[in-house]
Amino acid sequence: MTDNTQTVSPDGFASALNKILERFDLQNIESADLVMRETTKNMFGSIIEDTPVGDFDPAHAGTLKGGWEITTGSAYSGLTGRMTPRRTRKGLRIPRLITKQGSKDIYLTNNVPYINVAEYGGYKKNPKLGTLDKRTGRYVIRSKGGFSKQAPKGMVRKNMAKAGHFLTEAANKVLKG
Amino acid sequence: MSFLNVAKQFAKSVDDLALGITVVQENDDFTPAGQWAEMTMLSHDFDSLGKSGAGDEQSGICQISLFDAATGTLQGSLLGIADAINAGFRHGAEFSDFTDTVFIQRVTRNAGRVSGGFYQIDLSIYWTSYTDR
Repeated sequence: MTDNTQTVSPDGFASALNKILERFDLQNIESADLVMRETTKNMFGSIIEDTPVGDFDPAHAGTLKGGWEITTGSAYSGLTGRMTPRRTRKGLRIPRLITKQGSKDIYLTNNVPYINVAEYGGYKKNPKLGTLDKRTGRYVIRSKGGFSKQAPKGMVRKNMAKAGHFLTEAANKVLKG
Repeated sequence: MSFLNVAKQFAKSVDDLALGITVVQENDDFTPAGQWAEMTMLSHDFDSLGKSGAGDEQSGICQISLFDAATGTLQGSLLGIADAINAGFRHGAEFSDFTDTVFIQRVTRNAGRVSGGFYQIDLSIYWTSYTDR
């Protein structure tokens, strides 16, 4: 046997193979995490960007957009008090979701009381003056037959329906990048 | 299929269900009373299926909101109407009364709630259609 010859015993082979598999495994976990974070960022970002600003009252504009909160483990239960009319996906920080220890659940929550009206619309019984436009100081009647009507926006449902698109785009960006 | 034809298709299909309550379309001028349903077409998405191929795939949500002016009473009546709508728009149902076919993906409903003095349940009908170019 020459000096530059190495013998790989069955145990050594298993150990080398394990190291290779572990490296691939870590790479796969890293890729999966990047794809999930990119998907989440774009889906949550689209929901936030599609949320109405409320242009009738500049003092409260952006309350609904600012009301979205991202948490892991459990849903957020408070009110953020943020008013961010120009909030976009760029400022979102998505934590690691997939690690060697497992995966985390991530939540996007909005507890502003009228979030359901923005998503699903609704009527208001017997509005008295209409809606005050604080920019002009005038009350604007936006009602039909004495009943105020707010049309749905569907910012959550329509973006959740595109989950497959967000995932495909993220996978293409991360895995081909 | 055009925006108009999809909306017309849903209006006809809901009308065919004979729900027994007033059904109004978006931006309709009417005075709410008793129980009624309002239909709204939420925004559509388009996916091109090729430069010169079959055309575009459209998908969207038709929201049917069920209202009851009598809050504080049992929800069973509205749920019965919700069941009828759900049965009429099951996954795989197809409607083609106006030019092209509208394919139904699924129906979901949110939790009932009192909003602005009315009890309200919303149904979301997810649909797909194709446009030939």
